[in-house]
Amino acid sequence: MWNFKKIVEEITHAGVTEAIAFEKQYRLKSMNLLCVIGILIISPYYYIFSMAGLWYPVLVVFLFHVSFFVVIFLNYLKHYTAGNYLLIFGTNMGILGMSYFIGFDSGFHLYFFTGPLFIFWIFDLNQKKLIAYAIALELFFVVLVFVVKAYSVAPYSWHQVGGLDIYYLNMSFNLFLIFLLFHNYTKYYQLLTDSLMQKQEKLEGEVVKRIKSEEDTSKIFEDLSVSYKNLEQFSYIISHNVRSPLSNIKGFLSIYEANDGNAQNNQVIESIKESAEHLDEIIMDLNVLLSAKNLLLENNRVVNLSDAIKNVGVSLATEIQGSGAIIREEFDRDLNLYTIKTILQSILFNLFQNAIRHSKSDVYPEIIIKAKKTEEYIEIAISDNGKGIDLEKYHDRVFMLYHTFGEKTEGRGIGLFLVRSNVEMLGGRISVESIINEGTTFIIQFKN
Amino acid sequence: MTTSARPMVFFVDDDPLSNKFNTMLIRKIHPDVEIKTFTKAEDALADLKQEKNQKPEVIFLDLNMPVMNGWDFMAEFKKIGLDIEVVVLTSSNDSSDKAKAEKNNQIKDYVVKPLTQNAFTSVVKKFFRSKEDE
Repeated sequence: MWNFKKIVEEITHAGVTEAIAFEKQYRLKSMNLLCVIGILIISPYYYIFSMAGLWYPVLVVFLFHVSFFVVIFLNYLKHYTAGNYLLIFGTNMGILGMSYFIGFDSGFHLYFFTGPLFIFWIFDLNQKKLIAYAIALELFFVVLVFVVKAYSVAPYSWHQVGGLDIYYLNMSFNLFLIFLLFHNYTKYYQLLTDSLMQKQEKLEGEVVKRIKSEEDTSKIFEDLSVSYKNLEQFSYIISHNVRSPLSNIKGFLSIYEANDGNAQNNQVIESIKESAEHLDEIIMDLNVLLSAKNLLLENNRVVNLSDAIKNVGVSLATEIQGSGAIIREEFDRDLNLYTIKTILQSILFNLFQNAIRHSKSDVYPEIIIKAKKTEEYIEIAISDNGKGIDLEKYHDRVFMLYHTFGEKTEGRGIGLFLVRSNVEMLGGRISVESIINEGTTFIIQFKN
Repeated sequence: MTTSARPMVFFVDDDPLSNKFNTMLIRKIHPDVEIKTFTKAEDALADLKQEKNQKPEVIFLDLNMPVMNGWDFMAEFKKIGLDIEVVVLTSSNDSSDKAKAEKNNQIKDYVVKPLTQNAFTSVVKKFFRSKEDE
């Protein structure tokens, strides 16, 4: 009769508001059904009472009939609460009228009129206790029916009419339907309550979680800004305080003239010079890395990929001309990114420079840029025809600081580290594919 | 300006070793240039304020100094209203320092330490030329 699986599904998938609306609709449906059942149940009594010549009870049955219709009609007009009260009021009046005109005193009749009434009360009150009470009451009346039939002393008018068998049949049917409704309703109500409770708990949990995560976030943010300040301080110390004595060393070495003819001394000085140069390079690199974080202060804006590549080409003009490198764009000229221009260009700059530096000696370096844009992400693939990287060997170290591959390279192992750090700053990720002696492809993905 | 035969440069740097190196370098490449070094920016200012003192053609200024740093010096120097070229000579290759120096129109150049013969020559070339023009 009721597709509970569907109901539960609907409730679990619906929000709280929807569930409440759904419950109301469910109650409305139940009430309508009960009214139809009520009409079915009372209909035979037109026949029974009219055969017995009891015209007042026929009138009462008619009134019931009308009130059931009115309830259904009111429900149709969405005044279902009014329908409930009308029904309760009407049935009460009916019972009173019957008692007055015919002198009904048996639990039979009371049952007959109060049965549906109780269901409405229950539906209105939503109390599990009341449901249990109503079921107990129904059972009591059923027992009473059989007791009265078995031990009846005074014959009832209905025996004379001969309609009692129909009545029993009717009542059994009635009882079965009521039981089903109760059963289903209890089950449904339990499911509804559970799902609402679950939803509420989930919502509460969500709220608590969100508040907590907000607290965490602000804490993390505070920590981060402190570390960022420290980092800035560190960067400042490096560029001023550490570089200062180093620049003196470099300076003095530059005017030192080895004229004592001692070959070893000259070697020592040359080595110190080399070390000082190297140290200075490291410090400069660290500074570049640290100041790259400052780029984040720039705003996102629409950047045309092709334009960005052209800008980088200009910055790399010397190296491109010197190596005879070709840069080929294989993507839509109108492809735009919403990003921080300087960082994007820094990524391209380092990747291009990398491709040129690690090119093979016998062919001109060729850099091919492919890009595609979907709803979710933008993918840029930068391929070269260079020496390639032995990924099996260097797999973990490609993007690490101070790692270079191959024997003779100009790089100091900072470029790819900077690239990855830049890509991550823009919320993207980078991966690498490479075949030795054929070339390398870097694939960058940004969220669209 | 001054009628002194020998051109003069100032080095304002809190690091005496740096001043020593700069002096040695310039003695080597331009022995005719007069050099004055200051480890405190205040002293350099006081010297400049003395009217009888010979004014330098170029001031090499460090940025990161205690008490009065390079920027403080520039603010005070502006008040004196002397037409002297200032070149920042600093160990910092910090881009924000560079940007700040570029905005200051009294700072003619930004040189990252150590000073080299080429860098010095290219800086002083300008003032040698302007000397010849006079």
